[in-house]
Amino acid sequence: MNTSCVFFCAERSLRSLLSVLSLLSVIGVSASARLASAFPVKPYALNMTNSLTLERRDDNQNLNTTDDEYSIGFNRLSFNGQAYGVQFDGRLDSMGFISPPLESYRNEVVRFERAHATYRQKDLTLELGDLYQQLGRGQLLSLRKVDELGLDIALRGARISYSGRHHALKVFGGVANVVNLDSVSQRFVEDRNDLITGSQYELRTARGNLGLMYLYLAPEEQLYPGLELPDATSSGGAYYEAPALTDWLGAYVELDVQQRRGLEQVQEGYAGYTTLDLHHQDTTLMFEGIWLDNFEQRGSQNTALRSRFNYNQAPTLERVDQEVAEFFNVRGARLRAQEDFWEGDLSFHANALYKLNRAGEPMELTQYHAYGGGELYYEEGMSRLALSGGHRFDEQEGREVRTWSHAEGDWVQALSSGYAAHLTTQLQRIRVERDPAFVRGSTIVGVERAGLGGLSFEWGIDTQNPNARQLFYAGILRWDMTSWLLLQSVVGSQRGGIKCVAGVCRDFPSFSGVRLQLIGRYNL
Amino acid sequence: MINSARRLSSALAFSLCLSALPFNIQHLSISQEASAAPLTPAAERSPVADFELKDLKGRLVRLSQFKGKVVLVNFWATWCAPCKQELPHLNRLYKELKDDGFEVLAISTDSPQTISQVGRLARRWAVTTLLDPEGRVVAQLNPRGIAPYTLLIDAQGRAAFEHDGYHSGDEVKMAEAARALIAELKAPTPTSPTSPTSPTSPTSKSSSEAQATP
Repeated sequence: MNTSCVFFCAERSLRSLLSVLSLLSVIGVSASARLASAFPVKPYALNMTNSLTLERRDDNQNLNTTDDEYSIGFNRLSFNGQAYGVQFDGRLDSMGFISPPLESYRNEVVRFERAHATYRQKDLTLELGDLYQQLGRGQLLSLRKVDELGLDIALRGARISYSGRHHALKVFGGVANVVNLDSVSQRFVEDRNDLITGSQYELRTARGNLGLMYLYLAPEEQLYPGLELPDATSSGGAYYEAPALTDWLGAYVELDVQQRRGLEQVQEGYAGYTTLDLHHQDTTLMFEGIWLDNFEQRGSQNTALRSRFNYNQAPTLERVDQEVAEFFNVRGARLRAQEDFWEGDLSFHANALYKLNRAGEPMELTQYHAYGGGELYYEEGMSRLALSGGHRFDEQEGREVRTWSHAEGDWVQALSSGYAAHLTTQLQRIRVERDPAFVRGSTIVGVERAGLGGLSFEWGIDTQNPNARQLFYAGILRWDMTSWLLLQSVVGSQRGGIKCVAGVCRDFPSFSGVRLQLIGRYNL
Repeated sequence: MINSARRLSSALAFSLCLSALPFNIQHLSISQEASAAPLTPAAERSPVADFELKDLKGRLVRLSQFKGKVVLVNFWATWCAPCKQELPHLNRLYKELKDDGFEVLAISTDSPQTISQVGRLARRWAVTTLLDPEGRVVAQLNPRGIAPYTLLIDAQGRAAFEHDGYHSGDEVKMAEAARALIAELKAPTPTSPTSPTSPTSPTSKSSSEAQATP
């Protein structure tokens, strides 16, 4: 047996083992649920949240005829609970179309997207199924649940962790599990069974936590199949986290190394990230710095969108609503200063960002971004006004290649009898190279009532493509029918493009038509 | 076309059945209407699974540490405007009710991109701030991953009240629900805890006492 066979065979066995473990976890979860429902007393719980979306889409006038004139029903049933000391959670998705314009709009009656079971015994935890795992600040691995769109990537496998007073250790392994029914593109995304294994040790002291991390990633799809040594990435790192190093200082430092093997060639990359949080009375000063040297984001191909998704994501130092196109060989820093008044009811902040992408390469890109704003809470916090704005520009070979100005506002004014008026606006003016500048943004104005919901009108603009639709109008209703049933609906059109929802930025198709969403919560 | 329509009808029928399920649980809606506070009736509450997260100082905090207390769990993020409006209200509620056995756990769902911003906001508040960057507890308790999302847990460790989002004035309903649970806590109750993870003995530890220190 040669070395490549040892490597391949071991990897294949691990994949098989993990698949069996995942399957067992799913069966285990189902069994737990069945047992739970049969048990007369209540040592169990089963909570369900069901979200049913019905849409009729007409021509969104985006010059693409393959996303028009169809109807879709999308259902997401999330459940969680416990039975006999085992906690479990999972998700069943369904998607069906009438008159889909392409075959890639695929009908799926039921798809088990997530299944996860946890057994805890004192400081020891065993988990099977779909896991979320992050290492450090995500530079090595960032598989997170928190995605309002439900399009996260999980690790389908197993994890065992020990969490003690002074030491913590976790070991995990599995294959990447993407969400197959993409509710945004409404396409079916093929699975990528990339193997991911890793571990993390943490030493916990009164002066902070010291961690060591390791990750191994082997993609299912090889660049050139049949090579003796398959493509793979090994990464290791260490961090020191001291959020309260002194009364006025918090710090985080992480250093990582990445070894990538592709086409039987080995390359190394290095990364560093730090934050310093200084605060004194009402003044806060925060510094963030990042340094990436030939350190890559590793991921796989999203078959529906023909784009990549990544398993690791270093902090980009950017605002949460800032799309990031370039992030390789980065040197960057951000400084934020904030001053609070009236116990935080009034605050002002100013930020400055400097970033170098593809440092040292002919296409080196320098980015500068300055922005700031203020927030005011008044009428005992019932009303709020927040305003911010800024300007950024990218330079390449001594010339400006992109400029970007932005302004945001959010105003909630409490009225009488539990009513409030709400105005939210965001506007960006972007100019790329010497093309004419374009504007995009949206403004939502509405009335809300506590415990009842809200009625809003949205106006959107996107002048990037002069031949496509540029103005968008929509009416939005949210009705809290009961404490366990919620109705949301959108009628009209909403702009597409890159949007950042819940901190996740992705490309949305523009929408035109009617959307109805019914969300129910119930416990058994 | 016919095939697609048939498949869609099957999917929709399945979905509608699931969505309509709450309507079938008639006793739930009747008892909710009968209740003065918007709480799930005690007999129908489900136990909340225990979890462990780090606080702002890097110390481990477990839900089960707050045995015998009414706990309000709030999911928020630094980029979420309604969250930032809601949390000062929860902070005030905590200050008002903490001596009556009330605790607030504000769980930040910020990613590595924004987690460094959590401290500067949370330092303003007296409530316990926890960090869930991977979203493990979100997956357990807030499966739609929305922010803000509020869950009130009674002294027996059972979910008694849930609320999605925040509109100005929603804090009144939350305060009402919290006070009703505290009233339950103070009143002698015939029900006993049933969950393996549910707390059993009432204690009156303060937030800082209840937190584990490394």
